[in-house]
Amino acid sequence: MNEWILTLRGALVLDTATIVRQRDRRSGVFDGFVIIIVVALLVGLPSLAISTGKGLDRGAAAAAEMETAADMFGRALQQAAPLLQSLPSSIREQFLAQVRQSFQTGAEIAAGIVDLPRILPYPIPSLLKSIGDWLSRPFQRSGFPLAAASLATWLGYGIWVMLSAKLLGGRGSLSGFLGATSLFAVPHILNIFGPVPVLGGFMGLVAFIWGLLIYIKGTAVSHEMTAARAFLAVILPILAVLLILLFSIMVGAVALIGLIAGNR
Amino acid sequence: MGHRTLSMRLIFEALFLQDGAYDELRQDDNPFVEGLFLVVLIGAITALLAWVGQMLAWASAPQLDAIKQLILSAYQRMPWWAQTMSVPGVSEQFQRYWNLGWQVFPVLFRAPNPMSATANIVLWPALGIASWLVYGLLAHLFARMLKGVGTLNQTLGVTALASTPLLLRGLEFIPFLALGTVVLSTWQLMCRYKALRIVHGFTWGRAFWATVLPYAAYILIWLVLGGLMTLVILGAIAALRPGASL
Repeated sequence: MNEWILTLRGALVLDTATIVRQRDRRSGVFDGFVIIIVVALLVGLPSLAISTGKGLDRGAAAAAEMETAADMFGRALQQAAPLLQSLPSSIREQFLAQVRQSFQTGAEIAAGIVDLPRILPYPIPSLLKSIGDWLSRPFQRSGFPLAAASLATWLGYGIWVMLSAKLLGGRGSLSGFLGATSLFAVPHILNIFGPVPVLGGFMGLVAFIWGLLIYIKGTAVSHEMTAARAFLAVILPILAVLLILLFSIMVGAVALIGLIAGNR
Repeated sequence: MGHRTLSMRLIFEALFLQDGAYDELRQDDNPFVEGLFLVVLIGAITALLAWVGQMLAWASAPQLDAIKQLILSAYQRMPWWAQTMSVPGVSEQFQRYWNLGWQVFPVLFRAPNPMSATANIVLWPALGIASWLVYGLLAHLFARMLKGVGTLNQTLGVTALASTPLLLRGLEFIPFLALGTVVLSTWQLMCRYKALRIVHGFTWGRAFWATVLPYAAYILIWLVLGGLMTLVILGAIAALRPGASL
């Protein structure tokens, strides 16, 4: 336990010796796997508590969700109002009435589904769902690479960074690289504040930047390269995706222009 | 009888990318048999565990027929329903697409399905073997082209260790757990890279190509098959058109 705590503390302060030890450990990949799973599950505890609480009070939970959905729908209609101004008022009113009717029908269906009987007695189904969702967290993708402690980002993005690092002259092994970079997950414990308004977002940003620095350090140490090269290796996959996207948009735009010109 | 190399320790070490595990299996007197046993075992055990999770998920969800009836009743209460259904032919068409939709959407949205979970107890090992053999054969072919030194028996045996990440599917005994495809497929790719590098004594670059080229071959094969299928379908449509002559 002492060794674990020293490793986690060393990671947070970007201690080179700690990262070297993690790189050279035979069980480095396993250790990384455990770190990411534990951080992801701890971060998910507040959501588990909230969803379990909602699940235990089925009626109130369903009513609260309907109210939230109705609020969001109302806001969406308000935002769409300027776009509908160009329509004649009778058509606009008819359209809005149909949209409201559809939403109302959807809400009735959702409420009906919540009340349908299940084989397992209430509240077991909702508890199982809450636990299943919580345990799924370590396997979920983060919206942006390295933005969350998840196996999908560690492995899925890591494989591209590994390739970039090798192309930039890196000398590290796959196991060493994964072991060293898994420590990026440690600051993401701050995402436990995620459900808190404003503070959650700020802590998420701090965790992302801190984790990114550890990831770059881990890449540099495992591949025996400078921090600048390691930084390049880390951002190269994102740059490649952006370039491909830009190229596709340009090709698409040229094709569209050609099509329009050809039809004239 | 040959020596049994497979063990929990070896499987654990292979899963977490330790070189020793891959080397140990490479040196076995018959790695192919060890690999076959591993693939079948993992497929069957994980399918059984996933079956438990599917049954619990199915028991936690409302019955599909009840949901279907609820939605249909809601449609029937809509103001446009009676008028629309009174148009000749609309009712039959609606019924046809309604029934088709309810066959497709539950599968699309991964609704719990005890029948397919039961079928997986046979399907997962069978698909595991097929996937392992196809990849292993292609990988060996490309590895030999890249001057690899391993035998086919070794390539197949050691690439079977790439099925160890599929052990995570055993966690699906927990209902509503979603593993996602990224983790499993990337982890398998890494294990395949390790396997080919050790079996054939490759540098990282050759190991990379030996690992990736089979996937390129898959895509090419599917593109060619897709193209041929399209031609066959277009030909059949052209032949069936009125006035078309053979």
